[in-house]
Amino acid sequence: MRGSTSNSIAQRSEEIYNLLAAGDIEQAIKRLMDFITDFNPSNTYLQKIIALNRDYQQFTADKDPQAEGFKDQRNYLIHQIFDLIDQIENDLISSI
Amino acid sequence: MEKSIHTLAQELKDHLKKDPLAASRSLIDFAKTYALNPQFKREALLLKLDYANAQDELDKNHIITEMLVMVNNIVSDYLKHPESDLIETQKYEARKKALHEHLKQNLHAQQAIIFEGIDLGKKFKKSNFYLQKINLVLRSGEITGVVGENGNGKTTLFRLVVGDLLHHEGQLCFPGLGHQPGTKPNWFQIKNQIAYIPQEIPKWQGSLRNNLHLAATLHGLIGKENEDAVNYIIHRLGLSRHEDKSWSELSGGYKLRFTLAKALVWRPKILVIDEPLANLDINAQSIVLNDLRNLANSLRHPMAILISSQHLHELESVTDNIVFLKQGEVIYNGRIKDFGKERSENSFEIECTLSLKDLETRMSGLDFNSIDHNGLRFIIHTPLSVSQQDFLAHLLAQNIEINYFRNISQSTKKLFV
Repeated sequence: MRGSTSNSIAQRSEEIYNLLAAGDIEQAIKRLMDFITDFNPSNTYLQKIIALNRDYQQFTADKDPQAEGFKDQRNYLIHQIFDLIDQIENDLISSI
Repeated sequence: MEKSIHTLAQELKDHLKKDPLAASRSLIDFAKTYALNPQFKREALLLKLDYANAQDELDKNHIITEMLVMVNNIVSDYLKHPESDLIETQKYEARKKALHEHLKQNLHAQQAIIFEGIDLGKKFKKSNFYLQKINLVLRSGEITGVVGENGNGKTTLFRLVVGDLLHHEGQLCFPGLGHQPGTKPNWFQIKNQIAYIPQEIPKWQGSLRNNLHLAATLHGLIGKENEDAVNYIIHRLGLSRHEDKSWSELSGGYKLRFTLAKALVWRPKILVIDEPLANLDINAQSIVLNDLRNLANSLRHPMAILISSQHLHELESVTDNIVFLKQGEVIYNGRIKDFGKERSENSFEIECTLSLKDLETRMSGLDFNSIDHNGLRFIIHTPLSVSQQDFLAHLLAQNIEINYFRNISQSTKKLFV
């Protein structure tokens, strides 16, 4: 069960990627929230991840994984997660 | 000799044709290593998920074809890029590493000592209970578990740490909370940085959201900072569907999770939590412990956690340190990974329908030292030369049907025996 004990930005983004690869979108979103807390001190992206989490909660409550459109919506969410990670990493890299 | 990208790609394509589900994981690794365009890395992940959720053979075959095309695309993209592009990618990775070093220097130090208790003791005249010689160090980012049977001093220790009880012996200090050894503690300042969740959760009025805003305000978070902290913790702990509910509308498990949200919203430096798993189902236990592990380990707001539980194995899976108390005395206090390192025997716990006598007879072909029975399960102690594999192989060979097995050689469970 042991949670993450790695704390480099590369390991943390890799951890989120691996959670997504395992299909655990819920935990990936949680760890993205932690990623934002740690690496985006101005919380610029907090509202985005909260909106994304609301979408995810709504989407899992409403849709059957076999339903039409499920895959597209899931993929859209995953792209949004990657975009957020990229934005945060790029912001940080350009700030040093 | 290192394999060429062509060879690796061919091996991956063969693997995809034979065992697509397993190979889809290798496709991800291949994309991680060779894809210069990050889009390939994303697409590899999506194809893996698509394959796992494919409804029929036609769908599966279509996805396999897409995976094979992707391997070719990654290779051709890799090969057509000039050396300078590869150098740029390496430079970007180097900047990421530099970024990590930069962040490490600028964020709170993890593993800094937050609390230190030396030879702490507390006597209760009425009950004649004596908690004695407790040496406890809590470090930022670490979880310390306290285990032992009921009435052995766990809650007393917690109340000493949070300043609810005064110690009779020893010294305590909170270096990470602005209190230096040998000086008088400013309890107002110290308690303002410690969150304590007792076993009996106090009832609160109003909705979760309003309570969180209040808790954050009382700790100085106002305006946008307050709003952000509340939104973060509601979503982080998976409580968004319940944020407007009141106390009476919640199950025991959610009452605990809401109380945890109230404690964490203002980012305490120390979280002391007494028996949080008692009212949680197995899934919720795992979620709460995993959340605690990750939140303690935060880079920006690391936290020292002191936690007790009767759920030993679950607790041991997330703690860094463990303290075992028996009748007010410390039996073990140290790193969890070091527990049992110096042991003289291995111990295996099993549950089966055999009587002690029958089990002893069936185990006779294996070198064992003794068998204990606690009324429900057997603990079989063997020399160190008998490994877990040897033990399981013997059970199989003897056709012993078991309902439960655990290797407790390096678990504090041994101390309960």
